[in-house]
Amino acid sequence: MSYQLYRNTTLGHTLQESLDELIQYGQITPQLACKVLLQFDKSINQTLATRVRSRLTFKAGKLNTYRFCDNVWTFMLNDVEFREVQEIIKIDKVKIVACDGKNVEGEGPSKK
Amino acid sequence: MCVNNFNMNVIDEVIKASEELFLEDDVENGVLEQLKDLWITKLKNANDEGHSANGTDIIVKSVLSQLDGNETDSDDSNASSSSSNEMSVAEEEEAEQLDDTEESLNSDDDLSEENLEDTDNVVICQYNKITRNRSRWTLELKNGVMTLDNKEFIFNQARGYTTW
Repeated sequence: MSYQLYRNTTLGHTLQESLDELIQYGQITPQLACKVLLQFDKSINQTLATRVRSRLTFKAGKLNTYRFCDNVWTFMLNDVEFREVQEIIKIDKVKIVACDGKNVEGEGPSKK
Repeated sequence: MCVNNFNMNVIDEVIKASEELFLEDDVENGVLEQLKDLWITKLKNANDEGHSANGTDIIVKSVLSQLDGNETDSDDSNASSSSSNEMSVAEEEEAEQLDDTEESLNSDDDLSEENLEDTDNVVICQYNKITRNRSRWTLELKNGVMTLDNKEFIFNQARGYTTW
């Protein structure tokens, strides 16, 4: 069972909205929508793990809060600078939600 | 890998794998295509709202103007809320002196925790290792999808440093 956390991305939200619309028009069942979302979890986890190659570093002026619960880390960072090769992005407030990357595919808990 | 390519990759894979699911469920022809169209349209709208030119990888961008704007906004709101708190406390103290009645602290005085974590800039990822040395934290992350400043980015590995 793949992590469900990526449902909380733009890609995930747009899929859920689209599925909800189809359910509203009675074109698909909620159960089918659920299965599609599970497939989405699988596909996005796989694509991220295999097709993406970018590495980046970041530095944050301040770690405002941190939380570790149910093996999920949540951080609130201030004054963050993301750097990839020569490119920089500066953001003043960032939230990081991270699931355990060591137990993958079948062992990890499903997490929204 | 460009974010747009990544998105299309995931969409194609999901649609392809869902074909069988749709067949099993006896869904009408064309609904799967409709799902794909809806998905892509909503994605485009979301990207357009983020006023990004074309979803390329991390773009060099001067966010100083936005950064300044955000900072002044938050500073102003912090200043005004703290000054209003001070004022209400002062008012209460005056009332006490005048009326000789006591105002007890309420749970209304608490800062809501939800507001503290409210931001659109989110990084959804997995962690390899989170370490701390006194107050210095090192975050080793992987497989992340980021939404920063209404723009999307993805990474395979990320390493960050910060201080608590």
